[in-house]
Amino acid sequence: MHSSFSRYPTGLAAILLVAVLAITAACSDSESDPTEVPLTPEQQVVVDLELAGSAFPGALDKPSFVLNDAATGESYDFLEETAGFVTLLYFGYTNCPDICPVHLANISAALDETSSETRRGVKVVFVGVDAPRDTPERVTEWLGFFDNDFVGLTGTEEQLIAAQEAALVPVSFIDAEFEGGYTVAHAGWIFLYTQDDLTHLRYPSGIRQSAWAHDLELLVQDGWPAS
Amino acid sequence: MARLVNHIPRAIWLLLASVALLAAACGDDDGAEGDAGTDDGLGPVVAETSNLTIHAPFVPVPPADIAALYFTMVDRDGEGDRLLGVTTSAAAMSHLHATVTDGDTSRMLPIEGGLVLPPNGMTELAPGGFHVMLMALGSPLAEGDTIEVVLQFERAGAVPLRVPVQTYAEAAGD
Repeated sequence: MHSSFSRYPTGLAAILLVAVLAITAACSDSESDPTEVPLTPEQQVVVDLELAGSAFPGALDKPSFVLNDAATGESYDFLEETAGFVTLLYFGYTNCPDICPVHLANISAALDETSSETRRGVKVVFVGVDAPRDTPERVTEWLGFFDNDFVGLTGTEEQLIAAQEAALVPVSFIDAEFEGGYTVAHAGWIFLYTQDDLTHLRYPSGIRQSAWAHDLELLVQDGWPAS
Repeated sequence: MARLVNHIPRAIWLLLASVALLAAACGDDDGAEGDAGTDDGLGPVVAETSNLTIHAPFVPVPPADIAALYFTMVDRDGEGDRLLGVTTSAAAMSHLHATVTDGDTSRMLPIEGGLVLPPNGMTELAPGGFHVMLMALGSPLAEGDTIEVVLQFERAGAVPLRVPVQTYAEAAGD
């Protein structure tokens, strides 16, 4: 066997040996795998603070748009009204039976768990994107079911499109139509703006209330870490 | 190629085999998860037929005259089934829907032809996924209420259920 081995390019055996060693090393300690893509600063914060949100590759500006405050009937300048607050922005619709109520119920329950200082430091803004059905009365009543402090915004089709484009979320549209109604496709994420009036994070549906409470408490008390 | 393979000495074969084995062992562990055959975490059986069981149904307290019904169904005879529709005295209309994520958009799409219960598998109706949308509720539903629901299956036929109205937190165990 020794003699036959020598007939083959000596490099082949060496390459295979290196491969075995490399795979063994990768297997034994995958967490320190040097081939992994390094985390962005935002992702590193998410990991360090154990946040439930998903990090954007970089920070995004808080959008500027004006809609109608459903409860008061006055115009609501989003950038101005929420400046300096940890702000949750959600584009949904009140005939949404599944994820919109889940999101809002979990946030409401989470805020009940947090300190009063944290509660005062958070603004939750819901935009009803289904202009024909999301009337100011309907939005106010629907939101009040979750929390009377949540801000409900309504607008014309044009205003709603402008707001969604400003916030860099997909613009909603009428999706499945059926006898007696229709469903609306809308942004699935809630954007969270920190006190620096930037967004670093967004949250999918299915975030548990305990995770919301953890993140909100931390971000109101400590702010987004300076990089 | 075959001739080359025949000529590769045993020492190199051993090394090749080691590489393959190690690479396989290194692969995703995901395959080991999600054994649908176990009852873990399904919650108590609330209805049972000769071919399926229904677990942990609930309706979250609805904020308006529209609600969602969730439960888990498990195949028990290896033949599978299909949920064709749902009726309830609590709502004038009901639709089977799936919330799907399409890029960054959430869409709610009707399930055509019924919701499949795969043979030897389970199908979970849960927030953010499959659900029964109940529309035109006759009267407001409050926490602690119970509604009567009939699930209509292709094979199991009509399966009646009593479904509690709960907060999301209760249902999620938060």
